[in-house]
Amino acid sequence: MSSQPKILIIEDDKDMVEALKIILEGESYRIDVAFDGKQGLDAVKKEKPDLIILDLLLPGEDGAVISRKLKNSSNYSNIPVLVLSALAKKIEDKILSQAKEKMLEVDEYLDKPVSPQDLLEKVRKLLKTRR
Amino acid sequence: MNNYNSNKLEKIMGDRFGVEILNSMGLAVAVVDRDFNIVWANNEYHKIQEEPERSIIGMKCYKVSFNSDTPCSERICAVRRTFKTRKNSRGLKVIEKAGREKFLEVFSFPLYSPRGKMEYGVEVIQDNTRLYRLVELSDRLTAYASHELKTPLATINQLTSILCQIELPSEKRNDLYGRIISRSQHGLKTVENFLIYSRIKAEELEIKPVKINFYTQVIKEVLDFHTEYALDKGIQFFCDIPQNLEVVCDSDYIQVIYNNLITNAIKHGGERACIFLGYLDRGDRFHYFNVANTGEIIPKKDREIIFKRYVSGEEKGSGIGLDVTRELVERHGGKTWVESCYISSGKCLWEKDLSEKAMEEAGFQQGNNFIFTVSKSLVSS
Repeated sequence: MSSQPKILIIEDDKDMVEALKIILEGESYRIDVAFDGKQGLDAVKKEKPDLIILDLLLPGEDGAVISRKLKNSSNYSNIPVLVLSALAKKIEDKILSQAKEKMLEVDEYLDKPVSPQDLLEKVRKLLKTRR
Repeated sequence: MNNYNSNKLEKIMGDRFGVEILNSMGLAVAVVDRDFNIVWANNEYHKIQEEPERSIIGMKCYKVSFNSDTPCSERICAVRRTFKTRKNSRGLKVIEKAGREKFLEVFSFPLYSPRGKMEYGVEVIQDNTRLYRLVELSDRLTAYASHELKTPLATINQLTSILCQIELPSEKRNDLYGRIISRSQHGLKTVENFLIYSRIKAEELEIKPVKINFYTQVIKEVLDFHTEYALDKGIQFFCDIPQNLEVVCDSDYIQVIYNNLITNAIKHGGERACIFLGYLDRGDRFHYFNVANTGEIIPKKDREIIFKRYVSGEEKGSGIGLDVTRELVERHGGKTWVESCYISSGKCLWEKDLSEKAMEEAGFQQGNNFIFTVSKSLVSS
């Protein structure tokens, strides 16, 4: 069994998923993918990831709801969540203050499109926190 | 012509000229006494208050506007402020009538009796609801357009930056080039929809119908555009539109209709859905075309409103594609609607009242059937 950390990507845009996989697999991370919130939660229960990369705008339940469910769960609350969103930059302060008020449960966020360096830096930082 | 007793108002105002001015303004006008009783109101005022049949004379103005038994505060009521200050006043009022909000601009001014006492206030109302809705629609459309365009652009940017920064085998590079082309083509279609939508709203859209081979000039084009993207999701297309079918229509706009319906079908069909493009000639004045898909079924209660989401503004995050579709179909003298159907590979059954159990036993899946018609009476321009 590989000792490389496992990252779950929850994102409905297949092209974005492909882009993220290329960046992350280049650093030998193991990648699992889900295309909506329900699939994502099922994937977490099946095999607990070391980190979740989560899009905010998902079909069905949005990323904020999924994140809250994870953070409110005793089994999964310690999994770091990195939000990627086309909205993130526009409401930067609001997301941070909401996170503090536990309205939007995220550990970090990045604005799309992400630079590979920024993404890898955030991932390394969150994985260190997890360990 | 005012039905609500101009003579009475003339008595109140002591001035026939003033009465004529109020009647000719074309605005909703009411005269209210110091106890907030409506002593006079014109037709327009009755219409705004949705009381065309019954006279509201003698009723409290706060009862009429808000169905309240207590007078409004000074903060809300311009007339009340006029009574207090003896000066003109202005304000905004939101009332709810027949389940819908109305956004009203209110002007009030004091009315002095012939004895020189300020006994009444005049409330003049301008209904700004339509303007408010247009501004709200414009804001929402701008926000929606920004997001709808940012998403594919962000993805294109993402893929391009990876190509620039990361060494990849040629097969992977070609895959990314293909994705960039596909996303940019879809982005262009989104922009096209917005341009058409703005032309529709500006009443500048004209169709130029010409007799065409429908399969070659419409169907083949749309299938070529969508097939590769759909294959990625395991979606299959089936088409039984006759290859020799000739239709008088504007092929560019009919392609837009198909692009919107197919995009919708792909979105709601999900992985491995079947999408069926069909045609029926029922021997009447219309060509009947359909785009049917298996997958998420649209509830009956939503079937009417999905074509009007941006008109009604009632749904969050809805697109304009179906609204544009409806408008373009109507320009072709037709109608569009959605009903249920049964689909199996290569077949789509439109008929209603089919037994669900029998269909499932025969291997059919229930689906959404988007139908649009084109008039056979269109003349080539």
